[in-house]
Amino acid sequence: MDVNQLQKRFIDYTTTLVQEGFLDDQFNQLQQLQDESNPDFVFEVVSVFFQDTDRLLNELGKTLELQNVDFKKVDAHVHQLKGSSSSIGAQKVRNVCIAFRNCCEEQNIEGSLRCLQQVKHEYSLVKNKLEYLFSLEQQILAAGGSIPTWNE
Amino acid sequence: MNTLSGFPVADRRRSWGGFKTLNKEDPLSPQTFSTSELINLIVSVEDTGVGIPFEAQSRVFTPFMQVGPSISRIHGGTGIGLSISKCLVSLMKGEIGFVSEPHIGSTFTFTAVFSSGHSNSDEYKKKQISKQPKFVSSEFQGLKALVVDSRLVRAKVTRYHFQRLGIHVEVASDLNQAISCLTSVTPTINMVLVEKEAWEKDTELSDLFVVELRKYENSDPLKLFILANSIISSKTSAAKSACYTPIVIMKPLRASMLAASLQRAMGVGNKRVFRNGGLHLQSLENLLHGRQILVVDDNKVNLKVAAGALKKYGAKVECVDSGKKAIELLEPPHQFDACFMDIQMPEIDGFEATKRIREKEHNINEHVIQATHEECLKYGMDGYVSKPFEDNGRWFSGMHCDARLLSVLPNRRPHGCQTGEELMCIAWVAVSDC
Repeated sequence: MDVNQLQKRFIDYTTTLVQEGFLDDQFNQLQQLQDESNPDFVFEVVSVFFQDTDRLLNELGKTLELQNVDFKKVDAHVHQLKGSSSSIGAQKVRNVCIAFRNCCEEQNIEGSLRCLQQVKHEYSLVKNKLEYLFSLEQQILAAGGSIPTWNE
Repeated sequence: MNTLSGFPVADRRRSWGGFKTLNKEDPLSPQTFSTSELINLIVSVEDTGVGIPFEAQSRVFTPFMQVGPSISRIHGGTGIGLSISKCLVSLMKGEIGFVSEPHIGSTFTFTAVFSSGHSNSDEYKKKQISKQPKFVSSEFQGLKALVVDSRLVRAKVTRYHFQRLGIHVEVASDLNQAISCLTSVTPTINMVLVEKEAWEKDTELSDLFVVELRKYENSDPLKLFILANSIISSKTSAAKSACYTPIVIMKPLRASMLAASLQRAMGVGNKRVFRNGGLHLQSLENLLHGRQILVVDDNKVNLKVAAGALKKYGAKVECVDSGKKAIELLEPPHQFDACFMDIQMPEIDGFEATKRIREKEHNINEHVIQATHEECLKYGMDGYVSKPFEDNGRWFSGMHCDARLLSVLPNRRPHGCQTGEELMCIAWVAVSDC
């Protein structure tokens, strides 16, 4: 595939992700922050998001397995996840976090466990899609092209 | 009480009662009438402060005199402000006077003579045009707003701001009147703005109002805004109801932020156009370039995004992930021009951190800080911005160039149809993004 096709695919793919609700406008905003002085910005931010989320999901799993669930702790973790998913535009993940926090408020263990499953699911979906997007980026750069920007 | 604040004020007419320039009957007094070249301006500043004790009033313009030794200890200053003002006013061929009532407030008035700016009218016009902020206000032209406010003077100020955007304003003094307005007023209302006072007065009434609002809406959803100068109590039951979360617009109203809030809420116009042609990105670059900014957030992702956004405009950013580290770095003297601080952090939260930082800077006695505002004003914060950060000019629109710490207010958006982003508390930058 030549550079132009790759670039088109990149744009189409990002657009689809936004249309399908996986990503929201915040992700576009992040892409706009990327420039020559900060060429890997989006990749770096998303990488931190992946690391952070892996850690949080792990903690959440442990906390919810205990005999006496400490919902304050659970809520604190979900709050973090909500914040970071919001910051990168991972809309579906963030939306599950909102429901998750409601479960915490109600001290609902079953609901919380369901939410945890859901958030893990949404996270793995968006992670796969973002990883694919980054691989497209790599291909574009390797072919000598530049990543399309969103300043319409 | 027909004043902007709603509180009684000292009668300003007594502040200029002795002015020679206004006394037409005295044949010996120098009269400075306004002519086409010279303009005699009168400026009056009215406050609702503690006032000046009567026995101290005679020496108010004397250099180095303050009301008592406690003033300089609490408020600082050396007591020469008014004597300097008097000299300046005299050099500007004017007069200065005041009226003050203890526990009510003071009103100071002065006159000064200025030469007309229209003498170089072409140059003047050119300057005006280049300074014109590029508000994308034409998209609001013809819209209609209903403002609910019991205070006439304050409602006037609100109306002024809306009319600047081309929006026609109807005023109702309370929610009951507003409900009858909804049904009787034509053409149809596009948005409703309720003063916080009116909104919180009676939660049943505000609930009823929301119900009426839903009945009123047909095809175009009606946007509801609360006008507040401090955080809305989260107990507002209407706020919790699923689909009608009122958006808060912070006062004092600023044209650019108002336009931005309305645009965002109403989705008016082409979003892309706004982003590029909205607030002057160049002035944002000017404002931030080379500034040293500290970002404080326990969430690493948020830190990275905030840093990226600020660096885009040329700022030098340092990131820390705790209130404790922020306090260490902001120990005077330090090189930072501004600090963006999250409120919700474990151990030392944003409020506590700011309070401690302020204490180190000003050595302020906690009792002196007026507890008339909300929680975070008490701790010395003065502005807020919502996360996630967005790379568009409007979120810096409230920034002031001097290094004053501005107040910060948290605004936890309730769950519902709107996204529940957490708000960051900022010292030094007032930004609102509902």
